Amino acid sequence: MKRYFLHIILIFSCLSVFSQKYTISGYVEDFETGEKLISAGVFDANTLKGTITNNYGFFSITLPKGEIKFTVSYVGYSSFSKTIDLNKDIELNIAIEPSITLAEVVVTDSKSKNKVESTQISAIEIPIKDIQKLPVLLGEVDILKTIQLLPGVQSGSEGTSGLYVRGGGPDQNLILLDGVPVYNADHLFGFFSVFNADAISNVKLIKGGFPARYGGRLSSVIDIRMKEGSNKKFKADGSIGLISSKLSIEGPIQKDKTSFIVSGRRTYIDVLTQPFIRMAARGEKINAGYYFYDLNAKINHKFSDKSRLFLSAYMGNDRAYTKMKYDYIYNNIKYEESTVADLEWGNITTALRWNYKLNKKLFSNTTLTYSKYRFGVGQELEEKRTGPNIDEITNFAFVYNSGIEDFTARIDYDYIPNTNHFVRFGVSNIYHIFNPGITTFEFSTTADANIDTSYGNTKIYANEASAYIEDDIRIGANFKTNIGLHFSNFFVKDKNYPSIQPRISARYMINEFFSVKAAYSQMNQYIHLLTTSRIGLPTDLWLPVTDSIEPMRSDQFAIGGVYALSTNTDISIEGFYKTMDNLIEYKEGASFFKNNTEWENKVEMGKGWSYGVEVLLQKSVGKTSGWIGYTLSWSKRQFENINFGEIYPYKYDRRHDISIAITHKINDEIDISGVWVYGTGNAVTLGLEKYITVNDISNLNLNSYQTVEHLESRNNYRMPAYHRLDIGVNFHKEKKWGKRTWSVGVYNLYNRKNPFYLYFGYDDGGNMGLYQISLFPIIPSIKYSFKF
Amino acid sequence: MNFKNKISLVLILFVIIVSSCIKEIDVNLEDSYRKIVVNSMFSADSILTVNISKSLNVLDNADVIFIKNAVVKIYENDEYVETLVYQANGNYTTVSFVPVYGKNYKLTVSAPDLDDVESTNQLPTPVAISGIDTMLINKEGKELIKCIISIDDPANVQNYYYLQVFSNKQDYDYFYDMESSIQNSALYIDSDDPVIEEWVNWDQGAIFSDNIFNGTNYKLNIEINKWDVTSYDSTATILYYHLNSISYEYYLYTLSLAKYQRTNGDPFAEPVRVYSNITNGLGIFAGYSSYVYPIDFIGYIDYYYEW
Repeated sequence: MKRYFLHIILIFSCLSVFSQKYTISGYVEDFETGEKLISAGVFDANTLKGTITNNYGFFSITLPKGEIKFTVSYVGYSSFSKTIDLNKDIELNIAIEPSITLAEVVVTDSKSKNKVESTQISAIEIPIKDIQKLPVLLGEVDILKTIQLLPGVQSGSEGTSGLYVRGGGPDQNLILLDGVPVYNADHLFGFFSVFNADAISNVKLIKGGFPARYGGRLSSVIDIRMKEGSNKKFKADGSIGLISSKLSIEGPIQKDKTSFIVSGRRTYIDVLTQPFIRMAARGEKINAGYYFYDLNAKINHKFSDKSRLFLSAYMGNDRAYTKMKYDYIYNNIKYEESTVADLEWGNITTALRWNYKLNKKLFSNTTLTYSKYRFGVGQELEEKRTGPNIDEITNFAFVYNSGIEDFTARIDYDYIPNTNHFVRFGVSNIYHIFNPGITTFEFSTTADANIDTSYGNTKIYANEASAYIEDDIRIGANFKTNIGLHFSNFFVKDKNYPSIQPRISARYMINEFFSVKAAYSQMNQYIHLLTTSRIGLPTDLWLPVTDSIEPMRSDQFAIGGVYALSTNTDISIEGFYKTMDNLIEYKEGASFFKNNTEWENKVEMGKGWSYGVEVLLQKSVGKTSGWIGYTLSWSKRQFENINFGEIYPYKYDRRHDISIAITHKINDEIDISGVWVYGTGNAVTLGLEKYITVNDISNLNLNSYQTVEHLESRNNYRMPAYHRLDIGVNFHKEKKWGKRTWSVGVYNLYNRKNPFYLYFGYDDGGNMGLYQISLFPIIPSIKYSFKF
Repeated sequence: MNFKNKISLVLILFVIIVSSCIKEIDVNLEDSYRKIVVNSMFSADSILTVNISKSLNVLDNADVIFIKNAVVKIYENDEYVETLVYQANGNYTTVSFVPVYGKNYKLTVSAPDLDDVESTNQLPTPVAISGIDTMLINKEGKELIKCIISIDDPANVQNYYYLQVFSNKQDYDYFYDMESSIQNSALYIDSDDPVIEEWVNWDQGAIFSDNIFNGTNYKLNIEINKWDVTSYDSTATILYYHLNSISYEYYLYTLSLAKYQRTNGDPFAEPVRVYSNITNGLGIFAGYSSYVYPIDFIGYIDYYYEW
């Protein structure tokens, strides 16, 4: 007995010696600015076992005792390597420098191989430097417009920043700014998005295979992370363009501990048009204008290596206004009238986050956020009457408001027990307040009593609670899988909508250059965007599910392969199949701009399908970088009472979609970039056939008839193909104070008249023909930017 | 909201006008887009009239092309009855056949170079007006005749109705300077009765179904302009209330046609497809049963004092 006991102890101690593991944990940051690097590779070069940094730059890697070659790498940076004799737990913070040479440096780990290695399918990380270099409309760099250039993502109408991902509508994208959902990401009716690229550090688009930590929208997640602000020294960059100007300032408040970043952007169309408007008004005091602005601010403080606090805020607004003033004298009484009419919409988002490293393997992040989107239209009129016996003021104001407000609390944990598991779990709760439209009416005079009433829809309160758990599991050398579950419950008007959504993705590495991946995910969406027109207007309303309108749901399968052609060039091919249920659509002939009460009775519920293949060839580093994407897809809808219940193509069913986006650095002073897009036409409903109907039921012989256009089905006709070429050139010059850049670009270089709207009209001879309206012809732009 | 309307439209237009370009597109619409179009509504005890025309390419300059050499046949309960005879303007009529309540009717049409079409329908149950009360009212300064029409809706059947009101008022034709012949065109009706689903023929007809009052007696409220039936130079002496019981297919057709007329040309509205029950073709072949309730009307002539 004793002998056996001894043997057992010996065996255990041998085993524990063999399985003795230690954890290295810490942060990876940029050497110059102190910005934490997200998704940087951290691994042992000897065994190639490793992990990546999380959204806060934190990593934790547990390896067996012994000699390891600890390596950190990140695209565009020189990698760091150190031989360590691992015999205890270590805390190690690494700062790496951007690599000066952009020539292909052979690194053991590379962006392309990271893609091959990861289980995440259907995801694309867009390098922020590419976004800043690509030529754009009117010189305005735009994250969402750049995302439209990726396969699987389509833009809606020309120039707008709505996203249609794998056949889903523009309300099915979860756009997160530092984890806070943004509801209306459009300025100027969608021509520009609200994101100021100078303040952004990372953008990731996920189209399928959604990990369990995301939920609430069907078609995509766009995870945008703001820069933290350099905690080493002050920096500023800005630009002056045709439409707007931006300025971004960042720096340390307390070196290595506290840093901030503030960036702002404002248009000046209103300032520039003032003289013209005054000329047109000819003496009458009329003023009209349109402007928008954005303000991003973030402050972060490092209490210790374990604990960091971040406070970030975004505020943006669009306003179109007219002001009129006139006075006249009548019957000895002076009348002074002033009118202000206003159309305004905007977002406010704020987030307070606290990172806490509980131990070497467990990292937590607690977030409290507030988000508000508001739209308002109103008119205010003031009339002053002064005279010998009269001194009166009358005020009249009318304001219509709609919007949505969210209060969110969430906790997320990253638990990395060893290199074979990366567990994420967390809970969150969003308290929504929906305002579907309230009109306030105020009337007051100096003589009479005041009237102040409100009428319209009452606010709707709802609660969205969710929890998730997922694990990235490595099984053997070649197989890795991410399995997760997302639980959510939506509570509104005494009704609960619970759901359990499975999420699975897996990858099998055939060799270190080639892997195949597959994923299945189920998503639920509890809020709809009720659009009242074909163009996204700020009058679009966010409305929750109700006791009669059920949550939308999607199931998506994706399968594909990634092949690394070289260290930083890879090609991926992916096929997907997605079904969507409980979609809503306005009933046929439903009127536009009408009262929003009882909207539930004006909509139909139906379903949709989309499937296709996407190919992406991407090169992320080097003198020449960019991507070529191709998508072949089908997207369909079916509603019982629309199109007589028959399946019809979705409006944005684009069969072929090609985008090429390339930037090339000629030398340190000049770089050029080009974008070419091609898409087969969107579907529109056009009557191609006409016939007569008779007017009077009782008297056919009156021969009173009228012509009716026959629609074969909804969305039966395809607009002509859309394609355009944009080019841009950037001229850089290093100056004593910093660096300046002149950017010159041309949008739609060969001036193609791309169809925006189709209609039947008449020519001079009275003959009917099919006409198109196109929007943007060739447009040059110029921009001056600086950096110090 | 009219104001929202104005502001948003102005701003959209501003953006569009500032940089827009119009050009014509070459569109190749093949001639295969031609189908036989049937327009026919039939009722009991009157000969069947069917109008046959051809559908056209939407860009065609012609409004309509009637078909003169079509073969139009009518079947009763699947037994061949008659071939219709061409009259004029695309109208074909039966010689002796009249439709009867309770039988199923099938129409077949064939024409050279076009696909054969067919359609079936029957006469719906005629429904009677059991009584009408009229009174003169004054609403916001307008003098109106308010009519309460009492309908006994049959249970166990889904009924669809089309109401029209006619009068025998003679109008003075100022152009030809003479009394014109008795007009039998429908009067304009107004109503805020919740049961009415659609207005047709420029507010001269009301369409409704019995969803709300199936199997019970329903009192429908409508208003007619007094000026339409009695004015300073002439007055009607009889008002004719036509309660047409229409088939389901005609109901769908009329509703979709009215929706189409309302939204046609509006760039912001979803386009509407007009209902058709003609297999392989377009148009409508539908039965209706008419119940006419005449009322003696005592009007008076207002004297109009000139200068």
